[in-house]
Amino acid sequence: MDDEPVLWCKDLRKRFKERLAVDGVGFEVAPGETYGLLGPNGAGKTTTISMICGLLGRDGGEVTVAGASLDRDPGQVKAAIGYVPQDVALYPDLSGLENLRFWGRMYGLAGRDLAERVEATLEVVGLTERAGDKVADYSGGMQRRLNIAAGMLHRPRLLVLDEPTAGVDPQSRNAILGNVEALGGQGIGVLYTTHYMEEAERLCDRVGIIDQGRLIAEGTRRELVARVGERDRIELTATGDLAGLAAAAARVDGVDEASVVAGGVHLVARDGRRLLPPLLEAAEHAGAEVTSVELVEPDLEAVFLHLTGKALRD
Amino acid sequence: MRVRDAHSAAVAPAGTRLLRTALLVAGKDLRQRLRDRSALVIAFVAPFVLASIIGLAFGGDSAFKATYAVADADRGPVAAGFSEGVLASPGLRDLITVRQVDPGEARALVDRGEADAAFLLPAGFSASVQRGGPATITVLESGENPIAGQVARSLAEAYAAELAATQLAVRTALDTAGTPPSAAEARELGERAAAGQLPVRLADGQVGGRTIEAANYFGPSMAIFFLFFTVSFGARSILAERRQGTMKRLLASAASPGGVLAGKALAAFVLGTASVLVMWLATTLVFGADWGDPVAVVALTITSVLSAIGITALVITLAKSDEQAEGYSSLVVFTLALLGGNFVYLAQLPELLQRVSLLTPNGWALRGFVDLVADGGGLSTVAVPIAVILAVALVTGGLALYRARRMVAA
Repeated sequence: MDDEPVLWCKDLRKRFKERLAVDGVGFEVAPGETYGLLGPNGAGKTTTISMICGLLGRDGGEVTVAGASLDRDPGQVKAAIGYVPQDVALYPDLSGLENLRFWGRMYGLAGRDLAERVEATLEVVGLTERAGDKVADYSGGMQRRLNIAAGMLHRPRLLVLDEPTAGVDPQSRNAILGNVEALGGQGIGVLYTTHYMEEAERLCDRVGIIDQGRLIAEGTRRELVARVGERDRIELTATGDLAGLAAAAARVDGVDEASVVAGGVHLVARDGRRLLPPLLEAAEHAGAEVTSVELVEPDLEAVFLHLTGKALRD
Repeated sequence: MRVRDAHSAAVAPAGTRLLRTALLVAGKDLRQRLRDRSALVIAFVAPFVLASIIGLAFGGDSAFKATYAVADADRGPVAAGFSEGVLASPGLRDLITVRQVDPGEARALVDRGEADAAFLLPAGFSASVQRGGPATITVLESGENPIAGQVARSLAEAYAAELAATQLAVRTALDTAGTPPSAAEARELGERAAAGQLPVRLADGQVGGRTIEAANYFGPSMAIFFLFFTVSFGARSILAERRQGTMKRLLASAASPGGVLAGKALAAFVLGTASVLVMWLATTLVFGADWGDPVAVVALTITSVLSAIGITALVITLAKSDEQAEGYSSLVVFTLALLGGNFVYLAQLPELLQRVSLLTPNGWALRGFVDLVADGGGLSTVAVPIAVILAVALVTGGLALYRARRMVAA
C-alpha cells in the first residue's frame, strides 16, 4: 500500500463561463513526496487544488486520495487531506489553542489524542508559548504558521498547501518552509502551490508547471531542465594555456560549447555537475591550472520562460 | 514515523457527521458570541434596560395610573353619567384617581401637573343633550403624561359617541311617543351612555377591557425586539466565515454544508432563547412582572426565536457583504418592531395599525403574551399566535436554508 500514490488525479477540467480555468490537468503525489504546482497567478493552481479537496465541482476528471475516490467516498477523501488555504483561515477571536482544538475535532480527534496532537503541533510550529493568546494578537507570520498547523493536526495522508508563504516576512517564510520540508520525512505527501520558483526548487521533489490551466511540464528540476534543452554554464577561471584548455574541454563528452574569455574559459554543457571531474582532468592534461569553478545551472524560472515565453511573475 | 489514517469519526456516516458538525460549530459559535461584549449587551442587557425605560415612560413600574380633575358645572344627570358613571366604572377605578373640583381649580391642577388631564362639563350640558342639541366636554391635558392625556381624550370622545347613539335611540322613541323627556328619562339617557362599551383599552384592543402592567408588556416586547438582533449573528457569521476563509476550511474537512448551517442555527437558537428567558426572569425578579403560564411562555418564546432566526437569516442571505447584511437586517427589524407594536402599547394604536401588526410575527407574539397576561390560560390561549409564528418560521427558514446552502456552496 505504501507505493500507492496518496494523490492521483487525471484530466481535471473546470470552466468558469467562457474561461477554461483548468484543462486536463493530472499528476500523482507519492507518500513522503513534495509535489509543487508552479505557475503564475491565475494559472489554475488554486482551482486545481480546490477540485482535489472537493471544494469545487469538476467539469471532468478523476481524483483519488489515499485509495479513495472523491466521487464515491468524498468523506474519506476529505478526511485524508489536510488543507491549508492561501489566506489565513482561523478564528481571530479564539486563541491558537482553541483554534487547533476546534479544527482537530472537525477531523474527528477527541480526548487525549486531540490534546497530544495539539501540543505536538504547537511545538512543531513554535507557538507553544503563545497558544493561549488570541489569534488576532498574533503576528502575520505566526498566524501563517498556525494556519499550517491546523491543516496538519490530524496527520493527513496528503497535505495541500496553497501558496502558504504569500505575503510573509522572510523569517516566517523560512520557518514555514522548514516545517514543510519536515513533512516529507513523516511520510506525508505534500501538494504545494507557489509562484515562487525558489520555494519550488527548495521544497519539491517534483514540480508540475502550470500555465493557463494546463500542466505544460512535469518532473524533477533536472528532468525539466533537460526536457526543455536548457544547459548549464561552467565558468573556469584558469592560468596557463587557455586555448588548450578550451580545446580539451570541448572534447569532453557533454560539453557543447567552449570559449576563451579573459582569465578563463566559459563552457556550455549538459549536466555540468557530472562533468566537473573530467574537465579538471582535461585542464591538467592541457597544461592549464584551474583556480576556480563556477557552475550556473538553469533554474525553473528559465524553464518556465522557455516553455511559455514569459516570466513567472508576468 | 508512520502516518496514521484520518480518524474514523471524520468519515462516520453522514447523519452522525452532520450532528457532530452541528454541535461543534454551535459550540464554537457560542464561545465566540460569549466573548463578544456587544453581543452580550444586545442579548441580555439592552432589552432589560430599554424595557425599564419605556415601561417607566408609560407609567412606571406598575399599571397605568392617571389623575383626572372633573369640573362638573352642570350637575345634571347626563354629566353625572360621565363623572360618576364612566370615570368610576370597574374597568377604570383602579387605574385613575378622580378629583371633583371647580373649573378654575381644574385648570390650575393641570397647569401644575397635579392632574394629568381635566374634564370640564359646562352648565347646561345635560339639558342640551336632552334637547338633542350640541354639548361639549372640554379636555385639558398637562402634557407631562401624554398617554394619560390621550386616554382622557379617548374617554370623552367615547362618551360623546355613546351619547350620540343613545340620544338618537331615545329621540326616536320619544318622537314616536310624542311627549317631551322626563327627568327620569334624561337620567336613563346618561346611565345608558355611561354603560356603553368604551373603546379605550390599556391592553390588547381586540380583547378589550383588560389592563396590563408595563413590565408585563414591555418585557416580552423588548425581549422580542432584541431577539432579532441577537439571533441575526447566526446568519451574519456565515458571511464572516466566508470572508475569513474558515468556511472553505470547514467544507474541506468532512463537514457538510447542512451540518455547518445547522450548527449556526442551533447556536442562534440557544442564545436567542436564553436571551428571552433571562429577560423573563429579570422582569419577574426586578419588577414583579407576570408573563403568564410558563409552558405557554416557553412555547411562544421558542416559536418566536425560530421565526426571528428564519427572518433574519433570509434577509441576510440576500446580502452580499457584512455591511449590506447589517443594513438589511436593521431595516427589517425596525420595520417589524414599529409595525408589530414593540415600542407602544398595541391597544393604543389605531385599529388599522393594530390589524397591520398581525402581519408581523412579533405582532402575533406580543398578542400572545398580552393574551396570556390578560386572559390567563395556557397553551390553548396562544395556540393561534404560535401557529402563525411557526408558519412564518417555517416559510422564512426554508427559504433562508435554500439560499444559505447556495451561499455556503459558492
